[in-house]
Amino acid sequence: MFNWKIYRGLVCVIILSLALTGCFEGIDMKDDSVITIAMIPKIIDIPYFDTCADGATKVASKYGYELIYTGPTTADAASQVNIIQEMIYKKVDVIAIAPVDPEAVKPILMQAREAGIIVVTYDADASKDSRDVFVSQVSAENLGRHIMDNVANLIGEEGAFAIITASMTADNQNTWINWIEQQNEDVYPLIELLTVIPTDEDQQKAYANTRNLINAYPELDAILAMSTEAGPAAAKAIEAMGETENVQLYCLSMPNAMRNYVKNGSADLVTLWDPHRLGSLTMEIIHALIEEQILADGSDYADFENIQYDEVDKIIIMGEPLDFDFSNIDDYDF
Amino acid sequence: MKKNYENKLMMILVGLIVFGTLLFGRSFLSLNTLMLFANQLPEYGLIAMALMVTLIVSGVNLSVVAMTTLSGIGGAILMNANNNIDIVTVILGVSMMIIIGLLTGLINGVVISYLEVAPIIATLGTMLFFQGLSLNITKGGAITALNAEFTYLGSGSLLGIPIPIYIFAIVCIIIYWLLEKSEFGLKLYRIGKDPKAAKYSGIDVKKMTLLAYVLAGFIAGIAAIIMSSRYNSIRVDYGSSYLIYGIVIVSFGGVSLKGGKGSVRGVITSLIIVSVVTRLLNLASVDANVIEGIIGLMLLLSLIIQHLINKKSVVKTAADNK
Amino acid sequence: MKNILHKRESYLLVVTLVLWGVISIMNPNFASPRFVMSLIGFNGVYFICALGILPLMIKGEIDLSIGGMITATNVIIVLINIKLQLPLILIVAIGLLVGALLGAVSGYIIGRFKLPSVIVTLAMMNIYYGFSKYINRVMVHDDQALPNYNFQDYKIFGFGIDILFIVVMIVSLYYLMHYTSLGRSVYTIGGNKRLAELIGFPYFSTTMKVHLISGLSAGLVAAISSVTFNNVNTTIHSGIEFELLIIVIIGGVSILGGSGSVLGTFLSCLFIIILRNGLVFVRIPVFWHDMIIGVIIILIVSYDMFRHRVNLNDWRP
Repeated sequence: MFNWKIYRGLVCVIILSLALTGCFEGIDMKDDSVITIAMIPKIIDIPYFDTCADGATKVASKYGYELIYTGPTTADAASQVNIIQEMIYKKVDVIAIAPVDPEAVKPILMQAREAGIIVVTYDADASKDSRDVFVSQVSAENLGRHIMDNVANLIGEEGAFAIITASMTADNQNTWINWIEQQNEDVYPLIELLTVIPTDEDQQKAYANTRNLINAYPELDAILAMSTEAGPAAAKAIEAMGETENVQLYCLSMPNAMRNYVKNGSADLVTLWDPHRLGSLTMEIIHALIEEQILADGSDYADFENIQYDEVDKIIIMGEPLDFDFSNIDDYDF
Repeated sequence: MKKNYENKLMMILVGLIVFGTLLFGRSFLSLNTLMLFANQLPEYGLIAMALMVTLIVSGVNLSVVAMTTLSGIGGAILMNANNNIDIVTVILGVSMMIIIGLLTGLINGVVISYLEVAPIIATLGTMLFFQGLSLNITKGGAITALNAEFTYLGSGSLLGIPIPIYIFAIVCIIIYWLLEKSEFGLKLYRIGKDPKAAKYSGIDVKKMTLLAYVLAGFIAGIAAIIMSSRYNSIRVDYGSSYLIYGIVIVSFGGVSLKGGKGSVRGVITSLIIVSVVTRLLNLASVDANVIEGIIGLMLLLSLIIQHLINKKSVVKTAADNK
Repeated sequence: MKNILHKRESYLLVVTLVLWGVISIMNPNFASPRFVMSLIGFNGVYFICALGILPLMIKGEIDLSIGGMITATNVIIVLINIKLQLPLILIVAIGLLVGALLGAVSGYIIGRFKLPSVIVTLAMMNIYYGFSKYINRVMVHDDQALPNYNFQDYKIFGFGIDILFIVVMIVSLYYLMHYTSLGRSVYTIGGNKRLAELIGFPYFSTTMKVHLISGLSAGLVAAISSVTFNNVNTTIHSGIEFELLIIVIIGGVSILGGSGSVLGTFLSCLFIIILRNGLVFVRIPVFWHDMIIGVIIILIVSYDMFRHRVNLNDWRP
């Protein structure tokens, strides 16, 4: 039996307590002496971001900061916004975020900055006025042109290649692809980019489309797999088809995932950067900002020497992209 | 009997709040938590409302989120094209979003009522169509930099309460009145319970079903307004997780997939319960994936409980009628 | 009823051939039958799972948890493999077993409590995805958790193993639907549930069995996937539940239950696969895919409804 009286009584109690706690909102429960940093990746559970977080955690504990690592379970911009909101209410001191969508997080990040929170973006950028600094692993232009140069190295000055990417809405990849096309146009007019196919982080689609591409275009010399999930799947497809000699595979993936394929020849080149370092550097930059250090081009931050800094756009650039192939892939563990 | 499940839900909500406060104290029961909810609830809530409206006439509307993003994109493009930074642009944008919402609802309604395609399939088809259209228009990118006055709708507040809550509350009141207090709503419930009987009692089933989908479209338009103003941009994949989440919420809130059952009160209570549970689990530092799994479990349990309640009430009525 | 199905299947065959022809003209590399064979092979997941959910859809239900079951089975296979390196055969066996168990859970809940399958499988999807992603994150640390099975080297009569699994699936399902009492009860319950129960078809055991079949197909796919890619990937096949729904509906299944066939499902799957993969060959931008498919669904289903008005004895599922 539903007892309205008890129900009403409980509701009153709740409203009263809410009112009371509202009055005492000034008394802060949070321990102000510890600096809290919220680290929000695009999506949790991806080895890339988890490794970033490992790097960040080490540096955070070195300085005695408290690190909160949380993120959306699917790369959904709305979830990220909600998480940021939560962090603002939690009154964290710093937010480090890899935004899924730079536009979606702009209003909320600006709100965070107004509340006095330091906002740093890493891996992917948000708009300039919504963050204090962007810690970038490489410059997008640099990366795009470098990748295109590598493609030319793999197939020669003349040939055809195709790109497999994550999804049509992936900002990062789209920017890099633009620079790849730019370099293609500028320096290698005889190389043709046949097509760009999305795979939505689905291994099976990457596998199927690699096979499709190789069958559809016999003139295909190389495939560029730009999403971390697509690399291993594409390599597997090439291996299964026995095309390791004919088609060059170039991936943007983690070396650990690609090692076996590079060793057996189905993948020829891998480019990435060390996410561990990216996480550490992000934390070092945050430390510098907390200590109210002025960032300058060429400064050193703990173990990181001579780090590039673009003062106009406020971008820290960690370094150059790393290339892994048969000769050096064993030297890296991430 | 009809209200039995909803009452149990409210008791569970109260129980949860008490439990949560005991466990987490001021981290949980505070103005902050309320503000957090106030920001997140309207979007989820509107999608849930849109789902409920068509579920009452027994149609799962898989295209709600696609309708929302398409409306948002249409309105945003119009606002950007008309570069004035003033109230006219805002009115244009808001109207466009509602109009597109209504149109998409109309398309759904026509396909379902007059082409007689089963709702789940029809809306699957329209979802793909609307999504594809949005993708085609935006080429995967975002429409951004919306009018500042417009953004105020999403991020501003009145008396300390975010504006979206007011909008949501108004929509809820309208839906409540339409569904539970008006002739229109009564007819919808009758159609949901038994379409044949409804037809023979003189209700124009086709027209009513169509109107239900148009109404859902209207709500989707409003959701588009809130979403695009909150994020200052709109993109085809915003809110991709809202569909599943919305279905979970309405089912948990007592809306039956077979139609004819469900109330605004139930859905709102369910919305708050799910938010509260998520919040408590977050405070307990439970992994986000596990939270997803737990919500699934909750849904399952609620289904079994709903079933048992219904069985009991049938037996009770039979006994009463002796 | 049979008339319409016959028409539907031949209609599908014609449309598929035409589509294949058009794409082949635009890019002759698509034309070779050998390639089409391998196309079917590496898209095996769709064929196997579409056939797997066919019985339950004929019965009038919907299964949204396929993706979740695949992921969960995948995670379990990898976990077991970390301790014991297993041969291919055992992996498939484990996959089937685990998949069947997971399917049975859904089947039991739906059958025992007579709940709507959409919501129950939705809840199960959340549960399977949520918990298995968590377990994956916490317990699986190696990117290449499984050794390389060289899946492509296993051949029987010159056909790859992936084709073999699909053939087995087709044959067993055909047998099931046409020569067993399960098949009969599925069609009858799907056609008219109340009547079927009155006649005496066993609702509960039929429900259990159809969900078991769905689970088996998910498990099989998970096993194949583990062995092909040597790892577990939780983002694989996301959105597959809707894709399968589309395939099965175009293939002649009515959402209300009671109709559908193995041939129709196979042809429809072929059609969709050729459409989606063929677009790579002709370089049509991805943006048009979804719109085209959406319209096709609506056209096909309304045509269906027009031709075969739901008859008076329409007991709602």
